[in-house]
This record gives sequence, C-alpha cells and structure tokens, in this order.
Amino acid sequence: MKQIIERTVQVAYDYLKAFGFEEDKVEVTVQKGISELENAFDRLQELVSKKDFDIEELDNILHSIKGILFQLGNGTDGAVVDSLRDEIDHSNAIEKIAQFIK
Amino acid sequence: MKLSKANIHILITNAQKRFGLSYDTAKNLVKDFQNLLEKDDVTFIYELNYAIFHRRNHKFTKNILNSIVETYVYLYGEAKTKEDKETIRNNFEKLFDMIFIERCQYSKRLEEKSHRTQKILQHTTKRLNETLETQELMIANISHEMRTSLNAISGYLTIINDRDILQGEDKQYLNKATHATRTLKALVSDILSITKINSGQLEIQKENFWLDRMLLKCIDNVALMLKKKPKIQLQTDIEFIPYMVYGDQNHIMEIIINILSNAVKYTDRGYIKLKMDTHKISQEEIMVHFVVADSGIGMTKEQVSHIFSPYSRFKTERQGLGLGMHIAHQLAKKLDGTLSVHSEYQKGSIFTFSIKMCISKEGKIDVSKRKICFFCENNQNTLFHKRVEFLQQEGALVELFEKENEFVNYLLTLDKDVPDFISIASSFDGYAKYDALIYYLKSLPIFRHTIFIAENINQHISLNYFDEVYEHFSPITLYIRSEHKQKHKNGKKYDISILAVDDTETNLDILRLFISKQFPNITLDLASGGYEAIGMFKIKKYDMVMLDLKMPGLNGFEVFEKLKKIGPLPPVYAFSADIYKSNIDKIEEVGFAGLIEKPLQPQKLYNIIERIANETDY
Amino acid sequence: MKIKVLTCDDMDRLDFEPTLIVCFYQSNKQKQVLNHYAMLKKQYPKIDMIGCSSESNIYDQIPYIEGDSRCLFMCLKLEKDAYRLELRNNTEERLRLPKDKSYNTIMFSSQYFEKIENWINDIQDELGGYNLFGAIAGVSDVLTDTATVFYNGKFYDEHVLLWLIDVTYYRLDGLSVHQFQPVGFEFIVTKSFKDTIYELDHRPALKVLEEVVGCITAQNIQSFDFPFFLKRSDMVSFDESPLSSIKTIDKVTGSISLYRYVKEHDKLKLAIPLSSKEQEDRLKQFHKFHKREDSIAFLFNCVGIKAYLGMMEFVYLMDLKYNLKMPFVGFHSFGEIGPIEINQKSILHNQTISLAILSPVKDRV
Repeated sequence: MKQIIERTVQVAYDYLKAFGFEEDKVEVTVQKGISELENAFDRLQELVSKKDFDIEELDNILHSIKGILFQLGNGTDGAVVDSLRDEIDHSNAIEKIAQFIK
Repeated sequence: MKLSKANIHILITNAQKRFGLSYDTAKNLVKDFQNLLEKDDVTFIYELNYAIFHRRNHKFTKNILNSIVETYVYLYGEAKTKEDKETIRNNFEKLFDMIFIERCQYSKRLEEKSHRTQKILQHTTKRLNETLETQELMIANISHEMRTSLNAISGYLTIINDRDILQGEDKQYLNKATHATRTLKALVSDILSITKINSGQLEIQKENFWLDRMLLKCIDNVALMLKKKPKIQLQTDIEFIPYMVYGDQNHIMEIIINILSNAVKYTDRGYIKLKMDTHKISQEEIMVHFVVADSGIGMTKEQVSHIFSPYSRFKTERQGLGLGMHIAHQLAKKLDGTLSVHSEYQKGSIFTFSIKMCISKEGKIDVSKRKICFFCENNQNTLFHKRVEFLQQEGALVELFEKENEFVNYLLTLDKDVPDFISIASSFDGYAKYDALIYYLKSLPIFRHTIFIAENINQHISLNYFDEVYEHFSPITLYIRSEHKQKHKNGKKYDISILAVDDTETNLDILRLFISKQFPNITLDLASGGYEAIGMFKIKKYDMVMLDLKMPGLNGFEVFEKLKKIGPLPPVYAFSADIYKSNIDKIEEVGFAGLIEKPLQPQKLYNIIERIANETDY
Repeated sequence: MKIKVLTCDDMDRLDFEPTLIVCFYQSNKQKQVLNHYAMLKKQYPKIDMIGCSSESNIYDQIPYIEGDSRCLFMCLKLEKDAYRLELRNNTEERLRLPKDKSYNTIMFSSQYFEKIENWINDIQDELGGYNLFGAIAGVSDVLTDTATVFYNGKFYDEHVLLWLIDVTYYRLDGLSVHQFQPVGFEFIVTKSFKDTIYELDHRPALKVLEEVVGCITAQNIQSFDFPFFLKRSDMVSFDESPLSSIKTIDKVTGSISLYRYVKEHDKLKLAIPLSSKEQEDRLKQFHKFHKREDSIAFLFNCVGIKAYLGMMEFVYLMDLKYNLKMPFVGFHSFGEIGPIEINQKSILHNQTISLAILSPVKDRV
C-alpha cells in the first residue's frame, strides 16, 4: 500500500503540471488525493480482514481507489485495481487484494 | 259559394301581381281555388302546401299567408248570404289549418325533437370531456408511474446482471427479462406518444433554429445505435442555407430520429444516407425535404402499404414494436408535412419527409470576409465541397487543399493573412498526425486566433488540440462565431452553471482544476453525494450536470430519476470509469445526454461544455 | 307491363285483364278485401292476388295517406311465367327456394319472427345476389288487430309471402333511406331475451337510456322518439347497422322491448336526426330512379316515419310523385327490407322509407 501511494505521489505532480496548472493548486489537489487514497486503502484493509464482508462495499471501495489512482495519473496501479474488481467474485479475490495492498 | 266572373277576375289579377304568375297559371290556380270553395276539392290545399315546401322561402310563405287572408276577407265581404259566409269561414279555417296550424304543430314537434337531441348531445359531450380528462390524467400519471416502475425493474435487472452471479440458463432468463423490460419501456413510450397525438394534446411549439444543427442532433441521437453496427457507413448530404427557419424543431427531430433509427434497425451493412434539400416557395417560406436512404433489407409492396399502420414490424427479431413509423407519420400530418416511402425488397428503402417552414427573420449567416482554409483528402466528399461552395457564395474567402503536402506546406509557410478557421477532413490515421501539428502551430503567435476543426471523422478519436471535433459535418454557424470563439479562448464568454456530483473528492478537485482553467467564468458547483446534489438542483438552475454513476447511498441513475421529477433537465452527463456495453446501453436508455469517461479527457469535456454553452447562446 | 292503381271505390276503372293484384289493406278491412277478391276472381279466373295488412296505406293521389277508408289495389299485367308466388310458414326451419331461375324478390311477412333476418340473408345468398325488398305487415290497432298477409283468398298471420320475379323479365331496384346518424358512446347488450333488452353494460337498460335521454314516457314510445342503431357482431360499423325502435318499456324490470330480436354482445348507439339539408339530400337519392317507363314503385314507410314526419309526410310523398313520375303504392309497416346503399345487401330496418321499383327489362332477348 505504501509503495502504491509513493508511486502515485511521484506521478501525480508531473501529470497535473503537464496540463499547465499552477504549482500551488497542484500541491493542494495531490495532497487531498493522497489523503483520500490512504483512507480508502485503510477501509479496504479493514474489509478484507473481516470474514463476512459486504461484496458491494468492497466493490465500491475498489472503484473509488481505481478512480483516484487514474485521476492522479497512476494508470498502472489503477489498471490493477480494475482487474481485481473484475474478479471480485472469484474465490481467491480476497487473497489477491490483500497481496496487492500489502 | 259560387264565384262570380268579377271575383274570378280580381283573384287572377291579384295572383299575377303578387306572385308574378302568367295569366294562364294564375287562371289555373284560381280554378283550383274555386273547386275548393265550390266542390270541397282539396287539391288546391295540397298543391299550396307542396309549393311552400318546395320554395322554402319565408317571404314566399308570408306572401301566401297575406294572399289567403286578403282573398278570404275580400270574398267574405262579397258574400251575400249567411250560408256563403259560413262556407267561406269554414273553407278559410280548413285551408289555414292544413297549411299553417299543422305546420306550427309540426314545428313544435321538431322543436321538441331538437330539444331531445340537444340533451343527448350534451350528455355525450359531458362523457367525452370526462374521458378526455381521464385520458390526460392517465397520460401524465402513467407516464410517470409506469416509467418509474419500469426503470426500477430495468435498474434492478441491470444490477443483478452486473453482479454476474447467475450462470447458464438462469443468466439466459435474466437476459430475456432485461430485453423484455426494454421492449416494454419502448412500447409504453410509443403508446403514450400516440395517445398524446390522437387526443389532440400534441403541442406545436415553434422556434427559430438552424437546420444543419438540428440534423447534427438527430445524428447524435442514433450515434450509439450506429456504434453497435460498425459495418454501416453514415453518409450526409446537406444543402446549406444561410438563415434560420421557424418551426417545431423537437417534433421534426422526433420524426427524423424515428426514420434514422428505423434505417439502423433494418440495415446490417452498407450505408445510411441522410440528405436534406430545400426550395424557396416565397420570400417567407421554404419547402424542406429530408431523405433517409439505406441499403437495408427493404420491403415488399404489401409491407410498404402497411408501413405507417401501427404495429407494422416486419422482422420479429428486430427490436421495437412497430409504432415508430406510425408515430412519425401521425406527427408529420400534425405538422402539415408529408412522410412517404419507396422501397425495394432486399435492396433498401428511401423515406422522404417534406415540410413547409417559415424563414426566420433572425439569424442570417454573414461570413463575408471570413478566411477559411479547408483540407479534404477525399475529393469524393460532395458534402464537403457543397459547403465550400456555399461559403464562397456567401462571401467567405476560401482556400481549398486536397493534397496533404501542399496543405502542410501552406500551413508551415504562412506568415500573414492567417485563416480564421482551418477545417480538416482527413483519413482516420491522419487526424492524430494533424493533432500533433496543431499542437505546434498553436505555439506560434500568428495562429493565436485560428480555430482548428476536425470533421467527418466518422468514429470516436481522442484529439487533444483541435478546437472543434465533429464526427460528421460541422454546422455552418460555426463560421460566424469567430469573435465569439476569440472570447471563448480565454474562457471569458462562457458563464454557464455546472453541477458536478461525485463521492470522491479528488475527482471533484480534478474537475474543478480543468474547468476553471479553461472556462474561468463558468460557475462550477460540487456535490459529494446524491442527496446533496438534489438539494442544490432544487434551488438553482443549472445548464449542465455531471453525475458520477457509482456512489454510495443514491447512485447516479437514482439521482437522475429524482432530478427528472424536480423539473426540466439540462443535459446530464454520466461520469464514470465503468465503460462497458450494458452500462452504455443503460445510460442511453435512461436518458443521459452522454457519457464522460474517467479518467478525465479534458478536450472531450471542453467540447461538450462548449457545445452546451453555444446551445444556450443560440 | 300494364298498370292500374285502384281503390275500393273505382274498381270499375280496370280496363285490362290483370295477372297479379297486390293489395294493401288496413287490418280491419279483411271483409272488404275478400269481397273484392271474390269479385275479381269471378271476372278473371286466372288472377293471382297477394297483399299485406298495414297501419295505413300510401298512395300517389290525394290524400296520399289513406286513413280509415280504402284499400289499395295495384293491378298488373305481367308476362306469363315472369313470376311465381311462394307462401311459407314462418316456423319452418329453413327457407327453401326454387333454384330453376334467377329471381328478384318482394317479401311480405305477417310478423317479425326469430328467423326472419336469417331468411332475408338466405334469400339473397340463395337467389344469386339479386335484389330483395319488402316489409313486415302493419296493424292499425296493436291491441285488437292481427297483422296478416293475403294469398289468393286467404289471410295468414304466421306466414311469409314471397313474390319471386324473374330477372329476365323485370328488374327490381330501390333503396332504404333513414334520416338519422349514430351519436355518442356505444352500449353493449349484456342481458337480453328475444326482443327484450334487460341490461346494457351490466346495468338496467331503461336506466342507462334514461340517463342519456331523460324520462321515457308512453308518448315518447308512441311517437318513436328514441330510435337507435343496433350493431350485430358481424357488422363493421354503426353506419351500416339497422335502426330499431322501442316497442314497450317496463319500469319494474328496467327493460325495453324492440320490434326485433336482440342478442347479447350486440351494440347499441342512440340515433339523432340529421340536419334538414342532409335529410333532404338523403331523400333526393330516390330521384335517381325517375322516369322509368312502364314502371311501378312500392313504398314501405315505417310507422315511425309517419310519427316523425307527421303532416309533412304527404309533402314528401308529393315530392316523390313529381320526381319519380311513376305510379306508386305502399303502406306503413312494422319493418322494412332493403339496402342502405345501392348494391349492398338488404337488411331489416325500422324507421326507414324503403322504395322498390319494378320495371320491365328493356330489349329482352
């Protein structure tokens, strides 16, 4: 999880600056985005550690995380989250998610 | 009583004078009267009665009455004996009774009959009004209630489908149920349309509009349908006119969209050609002909004869219930237009919709002295050349290039008299190339004010640096907006209001970043959930709404339904990262104006905002 | 064809030997008819005489409508073998007809009976689609008199008399015209028995009608004030459906009885008079038959028309006389048979003026 966030931070600044946004605005947006990402990951962690979790809630959190990652320019990790979401009903889904956010 | 010769002479003279009769006719008349008086022969009375009936002239009748009274008064005066006077009195009574009294009685009976008829008609009118009121209520309520219920069924079926938890046969049943729901929704919509038309509740709402822009909207409407049939090529051949028209744009669009949808439904490969031409009827009116020709399955003569009847659907595996053409036909009639078809089985069909419209007093094109540069690789593109010709006729200064190297050379060597517009219709791969070139050209000061347009792309491409992108043709009004466009470059002109709804703050932040940079005058309100969005929508009028589909609590579809109930909707775009077919279908069905994909593609978003802002202007 | 129309008073004016006499008589004038028949039979042994009772007779001379006085005799000299007469008991299951030739038909029925409408249909189908006209006999006093048909010396009260006319000798055409149009919503007969409607739309029939027209009195019934169109299931629209009149009402059961049988699922729509102009235009349709040489006309007017037109009826008869320019006789009947449009099938109506014209075929081979 930490690595994902670090990668995202690195990518986000360059990604948003390339659009010509002012640095202070980029800073605020990235900080907010990272903070949201961390909260989402925490929720995800909590959910996968439960035995009987709500699959819809899991899907929603993965959807949120994917969205933030893409919006901040981290398409690579965003694509991974997308594929985890596609396989959410597989028997080893939780394992894979846990592995991803380790 | 026996009449004397003198009496007879006077009566004949009187009859001649009063009724303009010849001597012989008057004589015969008096003879009959004499028979009545002397022999009680009622022939005279019958003939007189018939004459009154035959003439049907109240002056004539009055004349008769006066004549009878005069005659009897005269004869009564002439009568010498009591018996004669009695005879005359009885005779007069008989005649008067048969001709006038019985007539009065007959009139009275007629009056009573008329009164009874009135009562029946009043009762019928009352029941008819009650039925109409019930029908109106039904239309309003059913429209809301049935659609709500159907949307719920459809929505829940989609959720089940999305979860992908059913397999095999069960999944098949689910698909059948989904398909049946869609069919039912379409049927309800169509039936309500027909009911509205047939019960005279169709409101004709005329407005000024540009014909080519209207056609673009029609094409947009069937764009998703066309995407599912990649083997069909949509061709357009539009006659450009330099003025707006005044007519019922919405209903005309409904007719054309119906015809286009039909063409897409019944064509699997080949082409669908949308053509429009006009001819002036007078200084104030033009006749517009819309033609949709396809290379589809066509129809037999018998099918053609029933095409506009309700429920005429010829291939049961094709979607739809056969009301679309009937609705289009009825609408065309209501608008005083005509809708006709010519078809050849297995070869294709041609639908023609013709309608008279007034030339609007507003909005005439003025492109004089506008400098426009066109590049068209395909010299077979007649629409393109038509437009070039039209603009030249209207006074625009046009440069036309058909060879790539000449065009590129021209662009790279320009140092003055730079075009206001540069329009490019290239091959599919060429656009990406030109996109990169435009990125460079825009960095040069001389191209600061130039607007770059990509058109005739025919499919979706992501282009970042073109100012305007059109999958089909660009509207003529584009070229009169250069000043407008200038201002827009700095985003100064657009001052529309947008509501963006997303549960992820980062998404909203990113949106705000992009929109405020490009359009600083736009008011962007953000809502982090469905309920908040509804609250904001209730108190403020928005020109556009962007709605995230997947949100906790109320999802985007649910919010959309609730917004519909509040009031007339501006364009509402679905904002989602989940781009797959069933979602696109649902977005289309439910009535979203379109889809903005995540992650955000800025240029696409800008194009949409610009189009909406321009619609608001026009 | 030799023609003479006579009344009881001028039988001595007959100056040729007739083959067939058609007699219309008021229902209480049977003795008179028999006497005249006896006299004519003695004079002309080969003569046929048929007839029909009426509420009152119609004639092309003053007073046009014969009240309580004279019978009418249409004396015709027709070609030999040009016609045949068939008498049928109306209780017979099916109407069996001769198929040796093609016939036009004039039909007189002593009363309305259950199968009459089937018979009217059968005649037209079986006789190869040639024309059918006719009427149901009338009575002056429904309480005391019995309607009859007359056939060569006898009166029959449960019979149908068919005058079959060979198409190679004589043509028979004409029209039935009414003065009404359907209006309002349709009512469905949901309960009925024979000629009585008990329920319309599952509610008492009388109540349903009175909600629309107001209280129905005995006077209204006598004057035939509320006719309506009755559509059978095999009829496409009310415009081609026959009119029907109310015979009686029963305030206790809330039922109405008609002059014809009615079935459940039949539909009913009230009739209102056309405008005066439309009424006249309808009647002008008769003018197209004018000036046929050697022709005669039979006019069957519903008693309802008599009540409706009142004193104006004779004016319309005079108009007919001046325009048709041929002798006509007829009577006020309790049902008329004819087509609403030329070349359409004849049906049984009430409240119509039905005209049938008999003309010799010209240039017969």
